[in-house]
Amino acid sequence: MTTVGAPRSGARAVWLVAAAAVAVLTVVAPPRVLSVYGLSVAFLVVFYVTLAEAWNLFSGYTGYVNFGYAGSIGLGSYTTAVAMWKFGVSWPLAVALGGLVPGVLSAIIAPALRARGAYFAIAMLGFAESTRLLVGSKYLAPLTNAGVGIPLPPTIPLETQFHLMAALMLVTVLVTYLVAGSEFGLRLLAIREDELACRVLNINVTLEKTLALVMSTFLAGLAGGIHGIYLSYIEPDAVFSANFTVQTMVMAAFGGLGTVSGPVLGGILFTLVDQFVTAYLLTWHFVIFGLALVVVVLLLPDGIIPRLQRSTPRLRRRTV
Amino acid sequence: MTATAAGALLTLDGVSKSFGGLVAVEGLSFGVAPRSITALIGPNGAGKTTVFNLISGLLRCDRGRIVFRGQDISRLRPQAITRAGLVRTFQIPRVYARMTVIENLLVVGSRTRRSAALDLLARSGLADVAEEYAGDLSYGQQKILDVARALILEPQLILLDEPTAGASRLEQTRLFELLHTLRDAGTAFLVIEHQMEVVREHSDNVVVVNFGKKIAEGPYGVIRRDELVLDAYFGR
Repeated sequence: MTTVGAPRSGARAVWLVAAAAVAVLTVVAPPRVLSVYGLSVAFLVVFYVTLAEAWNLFSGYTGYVNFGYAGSIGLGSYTTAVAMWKFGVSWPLAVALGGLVPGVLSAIIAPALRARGAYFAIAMLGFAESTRLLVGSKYLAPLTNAGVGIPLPPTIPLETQFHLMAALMLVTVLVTYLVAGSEFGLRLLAIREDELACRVLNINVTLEKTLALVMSTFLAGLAGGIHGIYLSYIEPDAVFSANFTVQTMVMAAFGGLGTVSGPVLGGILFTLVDQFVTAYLLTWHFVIFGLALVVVVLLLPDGIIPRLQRSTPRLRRRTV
Repeated sequence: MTATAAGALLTLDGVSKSFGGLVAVEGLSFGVAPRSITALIGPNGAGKTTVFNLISGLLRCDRGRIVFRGQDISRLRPQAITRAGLVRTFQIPRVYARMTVIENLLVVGSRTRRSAALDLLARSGLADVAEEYAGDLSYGQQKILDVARALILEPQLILLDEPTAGASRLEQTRLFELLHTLRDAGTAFLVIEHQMEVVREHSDNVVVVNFGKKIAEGPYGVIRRDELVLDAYFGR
């Protein structure tokens, strides 16, 4: 992929070393310094950053709001769980399958990308809901245990679960960084800006959108798979919860859609606030999240990072 | 010069298009010669933009056919038509507002080097705003960026829908200097234009339409004296 708008090589090397150091620390350090509760919160932070970044990879860059995102997450959880519980598949392979199934399925339902705006959102919401109902139905009961749920044996300790999810988060951010700096990333942004102009300017909009959707759902499925292991017991209403979609959207939109760092910022901030509110102000939990959504839409329609980029030309690199 | 079917780069042959009971284009035939600037003029609602939509594949003809470089493109999708070497712009510039000016060029010209894009921006008078967001440009600058974005694809034929609308005198001059250079290098242009001064100065051939039908074709000096054109467009 050709890099667009990259910083100079000297500064780039410094940034790369710093980023690599932060990346290693992010994966290695928390289990050594945090309590079990702290590590659980850290797990949720990297989980939601992964979800927000992967959602952004498709929806933030193309402008197609994926309201069915929870379907991919839940499918990832269930595929992983069924593979381990029913077929005795090893957890690494089961997690990989958890990414593969929603990725392939999203390629199959790619014709939904012909619809735009609310129609696309409704189509994807329908996909997620029908998947949840199907997984919990009697027809798939021999595989999924229907609505009863699936218990997952404690295969790997919390520390390893954290390492896995943190590594996946880094991979997701790296993928987004590479896409953002490439011609592919620019084409996705162009689709967001004006799809009709793309069609008459030799951009294969169907192919670009499908590729981005597959990448996004594959990563979401992997995250869902690891999250399923973290939960140790999954059932349809929990892992297909529309809350995943809403929270992810708020995080990505708060930080900045179509940016690399925005969903990371939004994911960290919102998960920490969410954990704090849940712990100390439980009954206000949804009120605060709802208010946050309203504030983001009214005051920061583009998110924090694009707002900063508008006032600071130096930050106007796609890889920020 | 009037393009004959044999020598034309683009030929419309009896093209018709209706929307319900409204006939937008009826039996329209004309050609665009290689290395030429052809103006498509007519009153508002004459069907000019519909003709552009038909040529560029955004609409399908009800009857007739459109041939570009010997290939019938009447049933092709817009992207395939662009790949064949025919690009269009829109009446209202459709720039990618939240992308920078240089990104607007790089995104459409895959394999386009940054230096080539910057060179084109310099020739279009947009070098100073290369790193600005396209949405922050003036309307005239956006029109020119729209044209530059078509040019970066190096097509054989470019359809320009009112390229001078909203552009300053300086921007217009610079734009047509660029178009003349490209025409001399082998590119053809079909231009919808309302400013008769621009048509007179820059077009090699003029096609006049009214109510979806061609009422005259020829050099500006000829159509300017045509009785039908005087009645329908210029007034007496």
